[in-house]
Amino acid sequence: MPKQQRAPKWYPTEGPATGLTKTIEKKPQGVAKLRKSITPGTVLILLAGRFKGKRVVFLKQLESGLLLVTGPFKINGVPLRRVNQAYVIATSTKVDIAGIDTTGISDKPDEKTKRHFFSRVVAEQKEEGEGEFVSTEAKKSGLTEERKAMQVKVDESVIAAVEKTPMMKDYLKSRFSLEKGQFPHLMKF
Amino acid sequence: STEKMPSREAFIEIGRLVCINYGKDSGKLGVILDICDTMTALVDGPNLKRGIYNFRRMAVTGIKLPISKSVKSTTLYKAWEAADLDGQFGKTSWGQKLARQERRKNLTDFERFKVKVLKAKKNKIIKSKLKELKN
Repeated sequence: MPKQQRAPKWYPTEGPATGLTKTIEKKPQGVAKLRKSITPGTVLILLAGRFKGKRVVFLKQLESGLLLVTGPFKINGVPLRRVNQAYVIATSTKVDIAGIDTTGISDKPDEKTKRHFFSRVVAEQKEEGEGEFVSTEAKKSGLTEERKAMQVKVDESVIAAVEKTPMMKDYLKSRFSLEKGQFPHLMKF
Repeated sequence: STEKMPSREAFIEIGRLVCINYGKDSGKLGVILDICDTMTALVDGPNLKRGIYNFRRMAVTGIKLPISKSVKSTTLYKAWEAADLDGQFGKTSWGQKLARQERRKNLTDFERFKVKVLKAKKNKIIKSKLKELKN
């Protein structure tokens, strides 16, 4: 093919603007709507992740839409944690946590520091000595003192409320599992 | 003779209390108001839609209401209340069994946990007592 008739080496992928295309402004998605069955103090069953099957107490919905839950930590090892509503079964059991102060816990990033309560903290590494490939000191946990203190403070009131109901503590200690003949769609929670 | 006698006087008749035991109305009580043919009857009850039900889908109870055939629903419900059919049926072992099944079906997760723990406790006590008696 003679050079004059060849297609150009470079050409735009899109044609010239026709003025017929419509740009639709994307609506802000907003925070996930909280299920009616989930109110502060509801016992939730976690369905996924490290703590799957654990029964935890719901505290509040955070700014991102995620649910703030606590084991309480002393009862079943679940700390103050964020959990997605979709991976949770809400039971009809409620713990009376009226008056618990969770205002210090938020997952809205601070404007200056861009961090929030649940931001990951990089653990400090101790300087390795000569000839050592593994530091002899245990890595410091990624938990801040703030989180530890908040855990103790919140759990104090939750545990007090839990102990008011007989067998509630053992209930939260146990894990949920399906037995033979049990079908979730036929069960009441 | 090869005739089988009913264990009690519980016949398909007008006024007989029946328990529907198949289909979406299973577990509900109704009274036979009229016999349509060899297989079906007109049945009505407070929780049951007035209509034609097959004998195969109902179980006959030992309880009977003294009503005439094809009474209106309102008349039937009045007679039902007066005779306290729900209470009468509830006292029978059949009624108690149905109530127990319903209760178990509607247990919450916490209640299910409590049942499991208490059942284990009870069985432990029984087992230890049995062991004691055997020795």
